Amino acid sequence: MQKVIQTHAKAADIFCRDESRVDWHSKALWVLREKRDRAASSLPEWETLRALGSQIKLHTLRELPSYLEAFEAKCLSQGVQVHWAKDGAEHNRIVHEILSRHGVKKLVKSKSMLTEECHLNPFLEGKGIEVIDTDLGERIIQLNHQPPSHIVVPAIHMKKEEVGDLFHEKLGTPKGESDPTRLTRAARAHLREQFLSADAAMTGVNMAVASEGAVIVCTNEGNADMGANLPKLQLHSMGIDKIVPDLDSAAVLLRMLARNATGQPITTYSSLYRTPKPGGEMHVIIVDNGRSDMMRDKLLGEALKCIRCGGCLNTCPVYRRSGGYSYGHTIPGPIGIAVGADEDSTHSSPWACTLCGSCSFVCPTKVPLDKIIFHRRRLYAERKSLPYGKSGYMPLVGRFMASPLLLDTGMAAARVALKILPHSLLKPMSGAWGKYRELPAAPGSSFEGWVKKNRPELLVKSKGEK
Amino acid sequence: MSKQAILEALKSSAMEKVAMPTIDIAPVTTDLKAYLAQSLATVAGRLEDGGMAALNARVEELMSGGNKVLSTLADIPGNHKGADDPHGLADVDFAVIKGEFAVAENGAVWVAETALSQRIAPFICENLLLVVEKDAIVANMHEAMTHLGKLDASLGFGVFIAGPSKTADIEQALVVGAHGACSLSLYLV
Repeated sequence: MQKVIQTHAKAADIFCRDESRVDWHSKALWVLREKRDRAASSLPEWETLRALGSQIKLHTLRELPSYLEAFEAKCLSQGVQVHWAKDGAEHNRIVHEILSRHGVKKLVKSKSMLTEECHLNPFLEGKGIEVIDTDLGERIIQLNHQPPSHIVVPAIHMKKEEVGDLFHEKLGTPKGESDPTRLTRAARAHLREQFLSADAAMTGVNMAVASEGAVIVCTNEGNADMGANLPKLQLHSMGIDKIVPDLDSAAVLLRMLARNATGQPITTYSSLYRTPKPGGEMHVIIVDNGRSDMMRDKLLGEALKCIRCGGCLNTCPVYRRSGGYSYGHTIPGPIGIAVGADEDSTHSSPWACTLCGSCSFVCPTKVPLDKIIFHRRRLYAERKSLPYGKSGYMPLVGRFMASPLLLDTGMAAARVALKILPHSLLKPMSGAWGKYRELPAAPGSSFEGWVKKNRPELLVKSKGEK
Repeated sequence: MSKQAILEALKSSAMEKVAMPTIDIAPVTTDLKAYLAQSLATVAGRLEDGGMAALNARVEELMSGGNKVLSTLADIPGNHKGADDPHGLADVDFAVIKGEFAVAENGAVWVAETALSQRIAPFICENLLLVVEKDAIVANMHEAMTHLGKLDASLGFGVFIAGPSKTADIEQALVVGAHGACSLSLYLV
């Protein structure tokens, strides 16, 4: 479990100490972004799909009560048991109750950010149930006692040599083995034993289809299906925001999910579970855990359009250069700030953003991420809970920028200072900004002065409009 | 109880009413077989020519090579007798399974539970041979869902399978063969 004790900038500092790793991390993610661009541009209807995806999600979120009830009714009629949990603690209790009723000792789990959010693994382990994460990336970080650092590629921060060392220690692979294919083969053999000996399986849910009472689960590895289809008992945890009205809406999102995540046309497996297997039991747990609260704010509510493709992480210049752990939250990156800033006790995560807007630009369902992050800053300011430091100087900056006289004099003084004062005296005053940047050469005049001299007609015009 | 609490909480939603959009995307009318072949290649699958005769020959060859072949097709006899318990399929080397239709835009094949004796069959086998009728190719996922909507209402499980299982979780290196099948061949018959 992660405990937030450091601001994003402090935690990022630790990651940034190793510059070559930062470059490597950034490049690995940018490769995904490039693949995404190629996949998106291969479909002429891409922008139409994004618009549809956004509308479908907005429509569904507004009508959630009726879709959730329709989904539940259909599930029940097909022999699926449905549970409702208002928060993570209740979700964990429900899961444990089902598992203990069946005497489950070992649970195989496929990727689910929701169960991470609820801290299910440590809860079940505390009750004596062994939990095996079965997505390769998740298994790697589970063996390494770490949370995911990315929502789609959870072990993106680890180098193959580090995975090799870990597997040597935990799975007995030869020392020094770092070939991804051979390491993956070793994990396949190890996890196959786990699948075959598990008493129950749990998966997340990519989409829950209201009209069918079905859950759709997408993986590339097949781990969700290897899990769910072997033991008698299968559980699926879903946030209330995972509902889509029908199969046609699912098609729109399925066309974008993998393309926007990794550039694949679709994940290898997109499974639709509608009834328990013969002689088996199927449970769906519907979880709120703060989602209905978010929807009280129109803009924050739009974050729930997210389909968790991870595209915004891959494109984010801050995420790529600060690593997933710097956010101190289950979900890192732009979407993590959008949905999780309330849990950040340092109140710093909304500032882990340059407001460049690249995340909003690549988002398949048009979540206005940069607007939401900016809105988060405003909410902190209104609650008077700006992070340490910002609450001190930000109001002063505001007053300074609002007064033409102060701003003009201040900037004139800065221009003079840049020209005559020694670099060693000025550089420390630039703070964190100047850490990786050189001070600018002082311009000859202010921008206003330049306009007065070179484009005076603009000034006259804007005055005339007043 | 929590159900009522959640539904109650959703009443104070500030989200705006948005009408459900009409999904109307014209499918491509290009050569669907060629499009499918190209998509299948990008997901590391193989499109096999030669129809039923080629499949029969392949299965014969596999069995004489000592492989355990599970077939769920009536006219392709395998040499694995199947199992009542899904765990009993753990030693299947090759599974021959009927798919309902293939999707040209992404190489995915829809496999329905009705074609399987065990849901685990297409995942637990080491290699997968999928069989789809040559006319059963749809252009995109929208058309695929229209087909699904017409399927047997009693269908409890089905899956779109696009190529063999794969992962890129170790340094983004693509490795074919994670937990599911390590290879996938599609026979159009």
